[in-house]
Amino acid sequence: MRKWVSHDIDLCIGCNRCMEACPVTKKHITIADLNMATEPETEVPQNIIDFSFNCVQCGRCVPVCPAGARRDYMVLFIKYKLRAQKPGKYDKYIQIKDQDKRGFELMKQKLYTTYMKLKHRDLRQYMGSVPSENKEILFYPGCYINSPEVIRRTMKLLNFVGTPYNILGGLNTCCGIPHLLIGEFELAEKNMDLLHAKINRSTPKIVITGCAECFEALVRIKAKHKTEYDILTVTEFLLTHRDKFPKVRLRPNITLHDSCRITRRYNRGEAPRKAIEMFSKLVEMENSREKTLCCYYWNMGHDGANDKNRKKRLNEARGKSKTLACDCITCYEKYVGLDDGIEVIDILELFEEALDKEGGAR
Amino acid sequence: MKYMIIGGGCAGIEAAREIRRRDSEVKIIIIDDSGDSFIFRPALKEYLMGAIRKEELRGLPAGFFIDKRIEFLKGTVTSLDADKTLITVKENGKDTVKNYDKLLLAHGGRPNLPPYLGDRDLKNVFQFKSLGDAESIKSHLKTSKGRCMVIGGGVLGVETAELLSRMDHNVTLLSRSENLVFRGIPKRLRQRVRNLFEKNGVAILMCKMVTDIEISGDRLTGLVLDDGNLLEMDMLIACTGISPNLNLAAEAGLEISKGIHVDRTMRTSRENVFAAGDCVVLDWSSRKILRLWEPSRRMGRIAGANMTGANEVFDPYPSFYHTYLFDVPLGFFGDFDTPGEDYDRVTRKTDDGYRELVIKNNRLVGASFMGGRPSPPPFLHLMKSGKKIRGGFRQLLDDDFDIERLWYQ
Repeated sequence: MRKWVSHDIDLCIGCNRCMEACPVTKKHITIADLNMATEPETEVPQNIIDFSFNCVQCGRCVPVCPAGARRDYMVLFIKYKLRAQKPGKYDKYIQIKDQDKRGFELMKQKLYTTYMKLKHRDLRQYMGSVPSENKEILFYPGCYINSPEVIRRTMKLLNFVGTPYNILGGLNTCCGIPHLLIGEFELAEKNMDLLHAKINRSTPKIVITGCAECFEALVRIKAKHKTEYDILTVTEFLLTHRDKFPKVRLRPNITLHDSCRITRRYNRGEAPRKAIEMFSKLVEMENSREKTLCCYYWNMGHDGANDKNRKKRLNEARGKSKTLACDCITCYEKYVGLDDGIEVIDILELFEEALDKEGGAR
Repeated sequence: MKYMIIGGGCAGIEAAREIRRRDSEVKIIIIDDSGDSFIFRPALKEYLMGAIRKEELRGLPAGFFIDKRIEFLKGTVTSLDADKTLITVKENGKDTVKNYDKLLLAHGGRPNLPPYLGDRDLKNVFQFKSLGDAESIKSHLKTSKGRCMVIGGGVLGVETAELLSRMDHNVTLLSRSENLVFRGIPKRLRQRVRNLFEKNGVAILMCKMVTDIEISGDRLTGLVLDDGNLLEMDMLIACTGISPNLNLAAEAGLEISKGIHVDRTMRTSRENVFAAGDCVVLDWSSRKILRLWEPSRRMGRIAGANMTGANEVFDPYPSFYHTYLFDVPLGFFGDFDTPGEDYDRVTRKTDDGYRELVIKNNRLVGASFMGGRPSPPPFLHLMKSGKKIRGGFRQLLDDDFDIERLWYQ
């Protein structure tokens, strides 16, 4: 990382396009200051400390760089440099998420898991246990096992499709990307390695997830450990069984919020589009695909303008359609319920509604 | 110990920083004739377009020279005596002789003017290298309505033509050769670039020579081409390459040809004299001249390190260039232009572009592309490490190739 970052500083020609594209709050930052702060041995001035902790790692700065430098990695490297002084909000976030917690933190993690198990009894068997039975599909929700509504919906759809599957979820199966995004590289690497071992126990042929961060972790694990299984988003997987779903029209039109990782970073934005077209008509927002905006989650609330930015995004969506669909669970959870003027849905809801509608008709 | 650096561009500044990083005590002096501290010169385009302000061009944080205890001297070095380790600096009209212990020549080059313009002082003929050039072009463009002529089909030429076109000016690009962007650009890629320009309203004239010019008062009004056509114009921007400044090197008896000869450690043929940046030529490398931003910075850093006694080596391979033209990515990596039968070429035409990989002995040695989702660092990594990728290089041409995979190769 260090080597690549200094190479990227050399590439930078100071055109400022990355900062123009950047959606988070930044005060009086020049590229010169930012480049200097990115270097391994230099001190980071206060305005850049603030900016770095505001950075959501959405990668909007990457495709605009004429020299092909990775500003996202450069800022991530600043986060790494500053990891000893990261804000409380960051620390709080990874306090219970980790696969290798010890002592008091492990107790807290277990307590939370027990609480969730009691609250959502139907899902308790999937919280924190590692499946070892060989099944073709592994559904990996990781920490979002604690979003029961989405999990139940996904399970309903997977059951409908009928391929046997395992579930791997829980705070102790964290993918490591939250650690990566706050600059804890070593912890991230460790979590990904541990996850690799957990996935391997059930030797799946396909691993699916609905979270963009989990998806990124799986891609990284696949690259590092050269694993054989395919990685699909839940939407992509359901599309491989699209013929099984009833053809019904659900809404006049729907607009799509692209995920920073799934679409921009991994260029996998086609599946949600096809899914929308299955049940409705897709209307694109101007800031879509590579230009998509973030859900502003991954600064852990450090930027005071997060909600304002989200509302701006919802406004943009409202100009296009009455419904905004999200392909990533993180985006969905950050946008849903924020604005009464627009309906925000998880894209899987379309599949579910289609099933319900047909079931009702029968 | 006194380190003298001639030229405050990216190579000079990087060298000064590297020296300071390695030694907190020594005296470092940068002498620059423009008096501007280091600016992001490639970003002058953005400045011209009004996308960034003058302050944002500054390549260094405020207070840099004070923090790093680097003396910045506005002046012109008029002579160099490498035997006596002396230089003569003209400051405020006065000559001063200064001595040095180690010297770095990082004074770059100056833009060429097409020979047919002679040494006339024409008010609507511009170059595009310094902040001053950008200011003059900017003020001329405010009133300019007619055709903007860009001379030169190289990197600067195409970038300038694209910039003016995006600013809604009527642009014609004139190139005397059949190449665009780089010599050796694959033919089909060249055609794509040409189409892209034409689609965006820029006329491109290739393999055309200028036989005569028309002047009215102190303005250039037309170029007569070898096919007899007259091109009328309102302004001309010459992007016809850069000639390195060689006067000092020649005077000091340094080995020179198309630039100052340096070895892999940026040492010249004279002891304690180093050179880096646009003014050097790497006669030991297949890429002899690299007048680009990133290698200049690296050269400067290596020169700085070696001036303090280190023995670091500059590796020009693989050189690369990447930009956006009308929002379409365009990139050239390594030996994209190498001819010969022992090189395999894998190509793909796409809707919006063209991609080509050059492979030798199962090793990726070059690539050029337009369109798609490029990410230069992993490509460079693959070329440099000589590693293969599972499933073959052809996958690099795929739109959905997961470029991140290369990080683990």
